[in-house]
Amino acid sequence: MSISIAQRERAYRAYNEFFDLAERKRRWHPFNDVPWEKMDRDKNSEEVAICLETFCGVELYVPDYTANGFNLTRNIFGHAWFQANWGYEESKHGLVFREYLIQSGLRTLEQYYAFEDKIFGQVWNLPFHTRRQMTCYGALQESATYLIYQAQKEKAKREGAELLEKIFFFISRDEAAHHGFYRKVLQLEMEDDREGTISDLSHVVANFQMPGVGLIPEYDERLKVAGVGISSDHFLQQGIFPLLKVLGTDRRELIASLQKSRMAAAAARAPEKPELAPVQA
Amino acid sequence: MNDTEIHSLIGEAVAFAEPRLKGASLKPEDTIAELGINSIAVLEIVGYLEDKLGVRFPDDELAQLNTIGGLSDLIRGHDVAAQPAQKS
Ligand SMILES: [Fe+2]
Ligand SMILES: [Fe+2]
Repeated sequence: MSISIAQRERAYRAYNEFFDLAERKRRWHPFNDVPWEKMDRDKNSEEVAICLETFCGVELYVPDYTANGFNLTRNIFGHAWFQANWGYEESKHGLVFREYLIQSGLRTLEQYYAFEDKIFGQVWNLPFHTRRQMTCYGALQESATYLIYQAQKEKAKREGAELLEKIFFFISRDEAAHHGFYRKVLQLEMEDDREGTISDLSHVVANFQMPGVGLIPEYDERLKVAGVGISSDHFLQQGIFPLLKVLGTDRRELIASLQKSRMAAAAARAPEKPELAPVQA
Repeated sequence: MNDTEIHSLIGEAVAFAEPRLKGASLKPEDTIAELGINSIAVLEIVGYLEDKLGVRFPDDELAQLNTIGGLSDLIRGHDVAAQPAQKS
């Protein structure tokens, strides 16, 4: 899909806004700003370990996420530079989860490396293949991830687990900012092509899966542990509906678009009617 | 609408959004998640019911839609007309 200079300039400005805020207000140091001295092993459990290990596993695919992201965006400054920053921020998430698992004793180094080998033994591929569809995916995925980490932060607070609360504070704030960038880009896409953007969004919502599906070992088993995933009604209320509202659309328009695309796809698949033979005079 | 009509309408809506569930015997306690109905299919079910009944359910009421029984409650809660509107 070609992109005009005006569109590139708007993407550049959206990126600058994201980057400026990140530099001024959101930078954090995984060793200096995280209060590791508040590690309280008594508050840990195998459930905590499974949550953190699963989150760590998803974050460990950052090489695949960024490689694919760069390929999709490399000729657009605003988008490609976002990928670079996004990858840097995501890289800290995996690092902090890894540190916690080891420092807490929830996993030995051997166990951690066995897990890491399983993760790196698989490759994450793009779930969607256009930049706009991946922007839709990014907006949804970042919002789901934010909601999951936000719930973890609240849980840690309730349980007086100060270290985990701080970790999830930093990480969930990053995820909210990532969602914010994708949401802003989608608003710009809506200005350019409302119908096409809603069509892409409906396609992505209909086929949405979290990035860990099919990649994280025993993912379905892990989802049985409270807090690893997010329920579809919670995602609908807190993720999908707010996004639709910001974009100036609603669930009815989304569904109408999806049904229209399905009908078009069905019509394209239907065998063509044979041409009638000319009637002989 | 009586319970039988509501149940039959929900069956139609579910089959519309998820054709693989056509003819399935749906029980009030069946959860949306167990039936493998994803977020967008929930929206299609709700949209189908709205068109059939000529009502609009507020988005925040959809939060309670965890079960087939929840769909019945949604319909009952809106005191929909005895004569369902025709789907346009
Ligand atoms: Fe992350
Ligand atoms: Fe993120």
